[in-house]
Amino acid sequence: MGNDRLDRRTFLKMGGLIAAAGVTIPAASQIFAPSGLASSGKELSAATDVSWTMVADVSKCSPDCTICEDACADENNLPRFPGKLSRFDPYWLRIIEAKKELSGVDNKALSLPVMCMMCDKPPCTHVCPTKASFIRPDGLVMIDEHRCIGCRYCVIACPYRVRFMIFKDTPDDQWTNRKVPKLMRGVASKCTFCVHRIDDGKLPRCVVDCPENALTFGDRNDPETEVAQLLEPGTAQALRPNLRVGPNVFYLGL
Amino acid sequence: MAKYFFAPIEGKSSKYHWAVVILSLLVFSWFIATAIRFKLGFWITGLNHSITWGGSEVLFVLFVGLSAGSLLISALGSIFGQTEYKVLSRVAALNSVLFMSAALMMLISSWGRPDRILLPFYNINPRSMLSLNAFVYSSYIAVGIIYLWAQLKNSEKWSRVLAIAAVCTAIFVHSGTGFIFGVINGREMYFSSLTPLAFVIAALSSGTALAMIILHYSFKATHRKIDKRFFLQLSRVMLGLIMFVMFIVSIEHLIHMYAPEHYEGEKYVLFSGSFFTYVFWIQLYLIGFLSPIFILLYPRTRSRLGWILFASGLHVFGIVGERILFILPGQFLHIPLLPGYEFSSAAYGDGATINYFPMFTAWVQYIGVIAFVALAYLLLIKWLPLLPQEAKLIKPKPPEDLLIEESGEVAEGDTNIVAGSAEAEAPA
Repeated sequence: MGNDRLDRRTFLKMGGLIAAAGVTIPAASQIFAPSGLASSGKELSAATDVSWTMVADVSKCSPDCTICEDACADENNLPRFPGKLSRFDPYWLRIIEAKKELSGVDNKALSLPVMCMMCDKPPCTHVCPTKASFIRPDGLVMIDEHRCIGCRYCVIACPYRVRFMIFKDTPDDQWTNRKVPKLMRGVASKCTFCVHRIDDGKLPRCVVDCPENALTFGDRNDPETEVAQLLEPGTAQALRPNLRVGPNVFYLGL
Repeated sequence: MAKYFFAPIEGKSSKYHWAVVILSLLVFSWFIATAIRFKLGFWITGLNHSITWGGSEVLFVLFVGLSAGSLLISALGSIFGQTEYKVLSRVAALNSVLFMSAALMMLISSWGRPDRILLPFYNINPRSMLSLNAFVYSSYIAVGIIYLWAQLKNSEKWSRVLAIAAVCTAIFVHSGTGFIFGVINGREMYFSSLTPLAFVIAALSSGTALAMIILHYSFKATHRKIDKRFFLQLSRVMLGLIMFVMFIVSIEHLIHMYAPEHYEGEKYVLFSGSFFTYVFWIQLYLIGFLSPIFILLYPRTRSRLGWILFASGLHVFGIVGERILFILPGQFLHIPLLPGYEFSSAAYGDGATINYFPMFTAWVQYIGVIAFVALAYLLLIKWLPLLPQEAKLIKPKPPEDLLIEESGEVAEGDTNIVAGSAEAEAPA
């Protein structure tokens, strides 16, 4: 009985100490840690005075055309699984058919390329518990997949449903573009505006591959860019503008 | 100070041993299922691109809620002046810690990367409720364990201090859990300032209900005595809480129906004939709210222990439905990307019917976590003196001025406001 009491006491003390240490040590380390977004070298060097913007002229999009969708998958090593598993394919850019709900008007279906809107006030970064979702100084919303815990909070919080969990490992034979890391199983992913290409001074792959030049990309802070000129008349529309999250993808021809 | 005789259970019966063996196997299965899920990925859980929060999250919020009722019972004795409840305080505090641990087990094992469990502590995002809750949840468990320790040490002073700390932490825990969902403004079904309040009250009502069931069967299985009047009193508390939560749920849905952006969602849940319509009207309203309220109000059933426990079970089942409605419909409803347009996509299922049913691995995880609570409870009540030999509801001795001179009886309804300590003699 005496030994039992001793064990019990030791257990409770140890339990209390471990629990207290588990809470206080990480908190203290955070308090004394250097402030600011943890970031890669590239991120720090990114320009701060740009506003990367995508404009999609849906009047130029042909029905059933999925070239941008395929180009995105090819550039970013997005896996395409066989058979029933194809429902777990991630689509960083996807084509959505949109039809007006009202009857009596032109009810022609429109094709909208929908990708991450790179919001100015992104709900995904607000809710991320580990700051794995963050905003680069140039405004691009990114995911540090090594910091993501796979809680899916950002997937739920995204108002555009453009974040995806990686349900399954990418087969090695589909890792074709070695400039882009293979997707990591169990974490969130999304369109990056082909950040690796932007940092190399190139346009996103979807923009380059579009045969109809329906997609335009650039810095809208620079009035000389085509993007700024397309936005100038004020006819471009953003999706879900009522949420005021500041999306940076706009649509013409809606 | 009250003196109660607490003693570990014997735990020598074959039933006990079989229960421990079976529960251990189930917990082990949880471990295996979690490892498989981690190794192979989410695709073996039944989740898909549309439904990324599923059964695990439903059980997570359910368990967080269930821990609240136990804590309420535990704190009644220490800080709310109901000194006679101190006899149940230890076992209730234990349940509170166990349910919170189970909630975290469920949550973390549902992550895509449970191996990164410490990251939320190192990369704090003050704007994220989930990030803040990492500290709140772990603090709650830490405070709960220390509170239990203080009670085992019979430290009246520390028990009281820690009970206050535990209740304060619990308010953050439960409203914080509601906040996780209530702040999602991109999906109308989630976005509500009433969510945290509804969560806290539903947590207290369902937690009290389950705590009563656990207490009853714990005493019965160990051939110990517990005063029926505990259940009568707690059932009154539960009745009030059930009415309150029904009120909040009702006004939330009614108010949402006035807002065009919420109406589609309300129509989908309340009137579309979908799975959620049945969950709402039958599981939540009929079984979870109206039936227990009727049982606890009807004179022929409200004082019978069997009926009280039955009502408790019905309410817990109803709150499971409430938690389902809390997590799932917001994902089933299609996001209106552009007002006035209907959307569909060949590749990604926009506009298509969404299906979700947890796969085998997920069910093993759910059952494993429930088994963990039961196993830890069985082992700890055998190892530590948590259950009293006898739990009697002893009314505190009233002060002189409350006595009616003529009859010598205590004025009705005044007994419980006496803040003095009950001197309960230890049973032989």
